[in-house]
Amino acid sequence: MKMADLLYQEIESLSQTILLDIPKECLKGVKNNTELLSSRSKLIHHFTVPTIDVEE
Amino acid sequence: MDLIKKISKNVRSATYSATQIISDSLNAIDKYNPLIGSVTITLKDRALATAQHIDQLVAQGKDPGPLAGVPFGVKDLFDVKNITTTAGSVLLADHAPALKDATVITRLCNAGAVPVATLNMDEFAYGFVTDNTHYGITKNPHDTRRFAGGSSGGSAAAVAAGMMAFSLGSDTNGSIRVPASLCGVWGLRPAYNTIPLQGVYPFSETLDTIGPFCSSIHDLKCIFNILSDRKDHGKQDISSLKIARLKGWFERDVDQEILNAITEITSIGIETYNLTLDHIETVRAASFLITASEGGTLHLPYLRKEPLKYDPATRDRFIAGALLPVSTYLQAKKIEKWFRHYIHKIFGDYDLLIAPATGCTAPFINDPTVLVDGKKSSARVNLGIYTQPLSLSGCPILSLPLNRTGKLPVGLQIVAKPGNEHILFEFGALLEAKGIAKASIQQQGIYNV
Repeated sequence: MKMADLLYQEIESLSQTILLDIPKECLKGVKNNTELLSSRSKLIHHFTVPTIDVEE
Repeated sequence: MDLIKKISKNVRSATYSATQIISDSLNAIDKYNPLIGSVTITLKDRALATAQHIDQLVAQGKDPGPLAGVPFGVKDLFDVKNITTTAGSVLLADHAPALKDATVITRLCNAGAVPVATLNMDEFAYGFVTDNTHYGITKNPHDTRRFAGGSSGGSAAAVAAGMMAFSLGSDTNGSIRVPASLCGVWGLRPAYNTIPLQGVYPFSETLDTIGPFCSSIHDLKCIFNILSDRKDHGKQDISSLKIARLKGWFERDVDQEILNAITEITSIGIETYNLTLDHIETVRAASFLITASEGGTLHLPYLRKEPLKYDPATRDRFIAGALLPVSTYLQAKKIEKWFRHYIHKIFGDYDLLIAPATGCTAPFINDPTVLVDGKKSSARVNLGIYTQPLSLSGCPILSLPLNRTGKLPVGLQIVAKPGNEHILFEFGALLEAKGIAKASIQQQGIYNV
């Protein structure tokens, strides 16, 4: 199975968990936006948030 | 003279009638709006009735308020009594009209201002260009082949076109600062939680702010004081200000002329330093993700019922946002908390931060792109590349129009510590007095009074 097909499957599976049926005509746009958000999500999860020193 | 001050003074002294001023504004809308598409609904009956009431008060020797007869418009996500708030979407077009005005509109009307129109926006405020599938593109009054910017593009363009004295917009990621820059007007993103949002359709509730567009810094200050229900701080001494010029991220892909303008500002005798903020790409990503997640979650009920009524570009972004895991949202919120603390510490060393609002002048409608890392990228998504990270700071941010006679407008962001809006106004007034900052207004419509 191709990666793109896997991603579509994942999106459809996730959308069912929030009771959302994604119309077929939206799938490509949702996939593109999901890829964009995924790359940004990875970026922020790679980031170790500095500890906030409350005394400062 | 400042336009709002001029109109109010003349109406209160009966030099001009409010009815005449409001008629001029409505006529200007009729004449110029077909060219730029900034107005969605004209509030003619209400505006003229209100103007007549103001004239009656003046005739009776009563004070109609500090904004007597001043015409203004609001982005179509503010509730206006008896008008349906569409937030730029047909999804809400058949909803019941608002039962009352948004709180900020009530405050302005109590001061004598007169709402004359609702104004175009990107659907549900999700975009930086005001290219609305349902209500059309708002074109830049200075070159109608170009975008006005967004998402409050109708609000910025209406002021720049001289159709009204001021307008209101909203700013989540830069939706006031970007169109203010591209249309050449003053704009303000107030500090988060400074101005009440009752009666304003939300987008991303933990980042949303609302603020004004004006043609002068004095007018901007005057409107902000009424919106925030604050008293004027009076004249401030800003001779000992320390300013930090933001480097790194805030210089990438920025036109040399804009960088030169910042250099000019830093050489007017105010103590200036260079500063590179840490982790800005990560902060921008956090802002992007918070907006997508909160916006997507807000719209989930509509996405379930009527997904095909959305602009496809808006809908697909909202759906992707609704699918984000909560761990991503919470990590983004942790970054926001850290960034606010980090910026707070920076304001221990500096009073103001300065950065571009946009990296270029308004993009052409037939080439809707901006440069990101030297590559053409979607203007709708990336015009706010310099505004979006600073939204997470929660700070008040002034969008200042550079004086560029004969050239297309462009603006800068000036950031202050929350509660220090008065320093922004004082600094803006200094730059306006020195001829470095100036709004680019088409001298037509209400400017003929």
